[in-house]
Amino acid sequence: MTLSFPTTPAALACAIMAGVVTSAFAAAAPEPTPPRLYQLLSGARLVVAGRVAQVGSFDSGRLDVTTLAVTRTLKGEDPSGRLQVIELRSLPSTPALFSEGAYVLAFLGPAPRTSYVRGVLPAGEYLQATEGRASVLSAPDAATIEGAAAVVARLVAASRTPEPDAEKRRAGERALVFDELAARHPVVAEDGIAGLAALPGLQPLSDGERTGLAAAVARTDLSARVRERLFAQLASLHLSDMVPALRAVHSSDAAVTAAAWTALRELGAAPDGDAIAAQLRSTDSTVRVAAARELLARGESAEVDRAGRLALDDPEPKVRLAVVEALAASASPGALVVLEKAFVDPIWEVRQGAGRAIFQIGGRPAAESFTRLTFNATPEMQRYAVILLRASGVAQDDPLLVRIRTEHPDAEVREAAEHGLPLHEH
Amino acid sequence: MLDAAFIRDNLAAVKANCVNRNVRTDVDLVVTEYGQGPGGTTLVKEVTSAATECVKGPLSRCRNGDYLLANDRIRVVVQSIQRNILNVGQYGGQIIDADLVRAPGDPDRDSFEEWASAINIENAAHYTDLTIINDGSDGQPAILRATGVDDLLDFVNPSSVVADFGFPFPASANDADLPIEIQTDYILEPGRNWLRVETTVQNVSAAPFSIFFGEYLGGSGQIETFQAGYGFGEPLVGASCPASATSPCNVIAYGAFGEAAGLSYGYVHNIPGSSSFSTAGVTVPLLGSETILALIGAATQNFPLAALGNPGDSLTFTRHFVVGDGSVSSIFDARNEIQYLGAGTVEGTVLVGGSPAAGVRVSVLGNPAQGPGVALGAMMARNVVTQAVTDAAGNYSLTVPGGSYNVVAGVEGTPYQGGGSSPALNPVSVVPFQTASVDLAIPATGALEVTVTDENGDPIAARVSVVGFDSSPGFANTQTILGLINNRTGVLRDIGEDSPPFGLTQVSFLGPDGDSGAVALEPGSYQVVASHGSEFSIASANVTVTASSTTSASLQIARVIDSTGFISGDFHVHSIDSPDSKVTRVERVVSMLAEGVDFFTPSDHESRQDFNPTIVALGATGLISVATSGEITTFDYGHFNAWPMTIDPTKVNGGGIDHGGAAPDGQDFPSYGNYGLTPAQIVAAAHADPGTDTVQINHVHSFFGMGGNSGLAIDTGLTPPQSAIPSSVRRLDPLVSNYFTDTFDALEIWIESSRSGLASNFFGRNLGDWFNLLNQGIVRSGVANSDTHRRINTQAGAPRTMVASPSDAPGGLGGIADTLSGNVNAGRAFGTNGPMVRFTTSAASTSETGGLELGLPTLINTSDGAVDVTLEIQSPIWAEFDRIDFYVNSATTLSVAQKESGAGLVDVTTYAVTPDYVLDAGVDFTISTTDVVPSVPGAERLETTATLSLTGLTDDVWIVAIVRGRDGVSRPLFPVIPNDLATAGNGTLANLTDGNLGQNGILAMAFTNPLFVDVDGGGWTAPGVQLTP
Repeated sequence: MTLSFPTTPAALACAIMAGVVTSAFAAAAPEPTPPRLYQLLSGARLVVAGRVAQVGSFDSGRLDVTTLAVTRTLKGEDPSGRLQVIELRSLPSTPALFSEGAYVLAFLGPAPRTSYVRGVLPAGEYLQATEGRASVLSAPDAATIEGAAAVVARLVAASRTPEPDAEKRRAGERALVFDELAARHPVVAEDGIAGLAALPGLQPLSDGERTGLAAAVARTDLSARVRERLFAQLASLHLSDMVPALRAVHSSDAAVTAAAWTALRELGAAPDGDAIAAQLRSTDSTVRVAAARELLARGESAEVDRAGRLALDDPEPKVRLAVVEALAASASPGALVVLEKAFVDPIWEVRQGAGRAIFQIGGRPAAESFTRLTFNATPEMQRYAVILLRASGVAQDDPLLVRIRTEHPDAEVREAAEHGLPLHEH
Repeated sequence: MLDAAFIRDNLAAVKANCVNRNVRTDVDLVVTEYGQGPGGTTLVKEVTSAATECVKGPLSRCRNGDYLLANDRIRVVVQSIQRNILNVGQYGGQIIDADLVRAPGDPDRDSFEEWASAINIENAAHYTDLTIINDGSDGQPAILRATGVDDLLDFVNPSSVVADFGFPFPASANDADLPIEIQTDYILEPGRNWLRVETTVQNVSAAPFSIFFGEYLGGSGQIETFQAGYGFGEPLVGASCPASATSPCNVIAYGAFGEAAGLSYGYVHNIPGSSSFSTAGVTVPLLGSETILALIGAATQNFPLAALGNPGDSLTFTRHFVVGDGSVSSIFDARNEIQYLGAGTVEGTVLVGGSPAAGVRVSVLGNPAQGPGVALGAMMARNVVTQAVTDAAGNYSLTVPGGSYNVVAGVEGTPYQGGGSSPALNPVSVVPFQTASVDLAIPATGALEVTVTDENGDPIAARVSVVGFDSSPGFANTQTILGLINNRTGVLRDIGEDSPPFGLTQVSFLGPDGDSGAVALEPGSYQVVASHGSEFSIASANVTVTASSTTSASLQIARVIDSTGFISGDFHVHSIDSPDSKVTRVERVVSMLAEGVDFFTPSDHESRQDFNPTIVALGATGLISVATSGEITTFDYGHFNAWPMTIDPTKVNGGGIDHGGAAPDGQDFPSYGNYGLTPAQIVAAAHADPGTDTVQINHVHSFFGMGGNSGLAIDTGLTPPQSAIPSSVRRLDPLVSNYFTDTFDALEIWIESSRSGLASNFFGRNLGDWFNLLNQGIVRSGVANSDTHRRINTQAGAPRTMVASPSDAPGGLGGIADTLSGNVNAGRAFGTNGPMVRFTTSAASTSETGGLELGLPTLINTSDGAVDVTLEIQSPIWAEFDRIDFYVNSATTLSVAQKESGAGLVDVTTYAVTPDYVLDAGVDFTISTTDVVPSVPGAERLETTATLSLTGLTDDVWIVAIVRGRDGVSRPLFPVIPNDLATAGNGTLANLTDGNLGQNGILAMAFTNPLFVDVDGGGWTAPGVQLTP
C-alpha cells in the first residue's frame, strides 16, 4: 500500500516524529492507516464481488490482466458476468493484487488508455483498482467476501437512500460499526475500529456492544497491527469497560501484549509493575523490550532503574539499543545515569544511540552529561561527546566548553570544542 | 535496525526478479507524434537520431537509446539503462540533459550533469527498466517510468566523511542493501516548464524499517548553485527553514552564466524540515531531516516504511525539475505556481549611471527569522528568497509569496546602490496577485582595457591581475550551525567559487590576441600586472579608473628564461566536465595560454575529453598542446591520473575507468562480495591503454595518509610499504592484505599554491613518503601540478612540471605525448613555480656527467667516492630564491597519530625530512641579474650556478635538490601567484605593491627528480629505508 507523503504541516510533523524511531523494536508511533471503506466506495465507479477466474501476464510480466467472475455488483453498471482488471507490475517483487481462485471485493475504475496499454493489450474495456492494494479485499473463501460485501452494500444503501430520521440514522451507523468489528475480513474489522472514533456518544455501551467489543479484543485472527490499533482506539476513547478484555489478552506477539499494557495504563488500570518486571527476564527479546518500554513509560525512578539495567546488561545489542531509545523517550533524570554508562557499550550503534538519547533529553543536565563523557569516556567516544555537546547548542563561552578547550588532554577534542567538525572539501 | 539475514533472504528474490525483467519487448517504444491537448503538446520517445533529437550543449550526454521528454516549452533527456562512472550518474534512468525549446538558430546549451536519488544516503536508485507509460499522443501527460532496485553509489562514501569527524557512521546506513524496489515516473504535462518526478520506494520485506531520502544533484556547468535562504554558493551543510516560512526553503536553483546564459534549472520539493549537504559541485538535499544532526548521528532515518502489505509499506516523493530562462527567479516563479503559494509580482527598472542596464542582479531578501537555521539557533544574517536579472531594457520581474521584503541589486565591477561596501536595502510589501514596483539606481562605473605584447611587439596571451581593493566586495551571507559548521554564501553572486584572493580585485585572462577588451571596474586606483608564467617577465602599470570612461594600459613582457630542452606541463587540470569545476574548455585553454603552459592533460573526474577542437577554434594550435587524461577519482582511497589516454567514443565518459567495479543489478555492495578496484587494479586498467602511459598518484597524501576522509594509511617506512586501513571502510576486497602498489609511474608530490599545503603536505609528509620509496628502490618520478578546478584562485600551471623534451615547439607536443610520458616516467622532469633548474652530476674519476636533460644519463659512476652536484638556476626577477637544499639518501623521521577509520583507530604514519646539505645565497653561491631584453623594462632574470661536492661516498646514492625562497629573505610571488598574502600591513595599494617582503604569500620553489650515483661499481643499489633514531 502506497503512502503518499503528507503535505500538511501537522501530518508532516507526525511523519517526521515517527521517523525518529528506526529499529525493529520501534516503539508505537502514529501508523499510516488504510482508507475508510466509504472513501473507497466514493472513489470507485464500479464495486464488485466475485472470484478471480484468470490472471494473464503481458510484456514479460510488466502487465497483468485479471479476469473477474462477478457474483455481485454493489456499485455501478452490472458488468454481467466477467470483467478485466489491469495491473501494472512495475515493481516485480511486490505481490500482485489478484491470485487465481481467490474471492475478492474490488473497488474499480476505468483504466487509463495510455499508449502503453494500447500498445500491449488488444482493444477492449479494462478496469483498474482505484487505490491499489487497499482497494482489493481478498480471501480464500467466499463467505468472508460475502460478509464484506454485505457491509459495503449497507454503506451503498445508506448513501443512496439516507435515513431521514437522524436518530435512526445514527443508530444504523452505530450498528454498522459494531458489525464491522465482527466481520471476518480484517479490512472490514479495521474499518470498524476507525469507525468507533467517529461515533457520537459512544458511551455507554449496550450489553451487546460491550460483548462484541470484547470479542473483537479477543480476536487472534487479526494481525498484530490491527489489534494494536484496536487497543489504542479503546484507550483513546476511554472505554474502561474493556479493561477486563484487555487484561485477558495473552499473545505470543510482544507488540500485541505491549499494546494491551499501554491501553490498560492509559485506562488507569496499569498491570502490576512487578509482573511486568518479571518479563525483563523473558527469553524472548521482544518481550524484554516491551516490558522495559512499559516500565519506562511509567516514569517512576524505580522503574527506570529496573528497566534501565537492560540497556547495560542485556546480551543482545538490539535490546540494549531499544531500551536506550526508550530511556530517551522517558526523559527521566535517572535515565542520564544509565545512558552515560551505555555510552561506552561495546557496540557502536548502542553507544551512538546512547549519545542520541542524551541529546534528545537535552537541557543543561544533558550538556553536563556530555561534558563528563568528554573527559571520562574512551578516547573515541570523547571526540563524539564533544561534538554532541556542541550540537546541543551550548554557547561558545559556556563554562563547559571553556573547560574542555582549556583542560582536555586530547588536542583533537580541544579543536572540536573550538572549531566544530573537521570538514574538508573533497 | 535491519536483521541482516532477513534482508539477505528477501533481497535474493528481489534481485532475481530484477534480472528476469531484463527481457524486453519493444511495444513500449512505439513512438507517435507529439501529444496535442488543450495546454499544448507533449511527448516522450526513445532517441533514435541523436543528431536531431538530443538536447545539445556543453554538458550534453544524450545518445541514441536515451529518452526525450519534450513539450512546447522544455526538453529533458533521461538516460537509457546503463552503468557509467561519471559524476553522480552511475546508473541510467535519470535526468541528464535539459534545455528550453529554442528557436531555430538559437543553439542548445545544456549545462546540467545528472540527478540521482539518494536512498538512505549511501545508496542510489539503480534503474533496470524504462517504460513509456504514455507517449503523450493523447494530449495527456507524457509519462516515462523507471523501475529498479537500490544499489551502492560509488561516487561517494559518506561514512568516510563521518569517520573523519572522529566516529563511525550508523551501520544501518553504511553500505547497507535494502529490501526495496524503486519506481520513478517522469511526467511532463503540456505547457509546463517543469517535469514532475514521482519516486516510490516500496518495502518488499516483512519487516518495517526507516530510510533517509534525498537526492544527489550534479550541477556542474556554468551554473551557480542557489539555495533558498542561503543565496549563491555551496553551504557545506545547510539547515532547514521554519515550516511556516512565507517563502518555503524548498528550492535548489541553478542560475546560469557564460555559455549557459539564458538557461537555469531548479529542483523543487515540498517537504518541510529539509536541509542539504554540498561538496565538490554536488548538492545533496536531505528531505525532512537536519543534515547536521544526521551526520553526527543525532537524528536517524526519518521515513518509516511499514512491512509489505501494510499501510505505509511504500512512500512516494513528488519533486519537480524546472527548466528556467537563466534566472533564479524563473525557478522560484515556477515553484510558486506549482505549490499555489499566492505570489505577487515585484518588478522595476535598474539604472546604472542613469541608463537602463542589462545583467544587473536583483535579489529579494526576506525575514531572516523565516530563513535557514532558525530551529538550530543558527539564523542567517540574511534570508535570500529569489533573484532576477535585468533584461536589455534594464527591467526585471519576479514573483514572491505575499509579505515584506527588501530588494538589493548589484552587478560585477560596479559600485553598489548608495556607494557603500554593501548594497542599499529597498523595502517592498508584496500582496498576493498584485504588482509592486521597485526601481533602482546604481552609480556609474568605469572600465579597464589592457593589451599585452611580447618582446617583439606581438600580442601574447597573458594573465592580467588588478592589484587593489574592491570597493563593492561580495555581499556575503553567513551562518554558524551549532558551533560545528560555518557557512558563507553570496546574496548577489557566488563569492566563493573563483574570487580573487586578497590583494587582487580582478583577474583577466587574455587570449592570443593579447587584448582584454573593456572590463567593468569600480572607479579607483589600481596597479595592473601582466604575466605569462614562469619563463616570462612581468609588466605593470599604475592606473586610475574613473566613472563613465575606459582606462587603457599597454604592457610588454618578454621571455627571460632559457628553457631549451624542457617544456612546461600541467598534468592535473579540471574543467567543466568535472562536477566541481565551472571552467569551460575555452576558458581552460586560454588560462593555460595566459600562464605560459606548453602542454597539459585535461583530467576531469572519470571523463576523457579531447580539447584539440577547442585549441583549433581558438587559433592556438602553434601555442599549446594537449593529451587526453582523466582523473580516476575514488572517493576515499586516492585519485589517479593517466595520460595519454584513448577516448572511447561509445562511452558517455569517453572510456573513463570504472573504479567502482561493475556488479550485477542491485549487488554492488561489499556484502555481495563486490568491491571497488584496488589501486593495483586501477593502475593496471590505465596501463592497458595502448602506447606509453604515465599513471600518477595524485596529491599523494590522500593515498598514503588518512586525512580529509581519504587515504589508505600506508606506512612507507616499512619494506615493502603496508596499508593499515580496514578494507570495510573503503569498500575494498578484504582478501587483499596490502593496498599499496608499486606499479604506478609518478607521484604528484606538489599541487596547488598554498602555504599550508606546502608546509603540511609537500614538506610535511609527501617528501618523506617519496624518499622512503626511493630508499627502498621504488624509484618513481615526482611531479608538480596545479590540480586547478578554477582559474583565479587556483591557477593553471602553478606549480608545473618541466619535462625534458626533444622539441621546444609547444604546438607539436601532442604528437609526442608518448615520448613526454616516457620522459616523465624516466624522471627527466622537475617541478617549479618559478625557477628553471638544470641539475647535473659529474664525476672526475670517470669523466661521466649525468643530468635530467635528454642525452645525459641519470645514473653516473664514480670510482673515488667523489661527485660534484651542480644546479644552474635561472629565475625571473619576480621569483626570488635564496636557498638550495640537497637531499642525499635522506633519512626520514617518523611520527604516528591514531585516526578513526570508521572501523576503529588505525596508526597513520608521517615522515618528516631534513636536508642533508644546505647552500645559502651570498654565502655559498652568488646570484646575479641579467638584463635579457634591454628594450623591455623588467625583462631580467636572476642567475646562479651552485655546486655541491660530495666526497668520501661509500654507498650508492640518490640526490634531490630543492631551490626556494624564504620568508623575509626573498619576496613572495604576489601578484603573479597571489595566494596567502598577509592582510596585516597590507591595507593600502601602496602596501600591496611594496614587494611584501616577509608578509607571507607564496615563495619561489623548484624541486628536482633524483639523479643517481653508482659508487661501488655494481649498478645503483637502493640504500634501504633510513630512519632517524
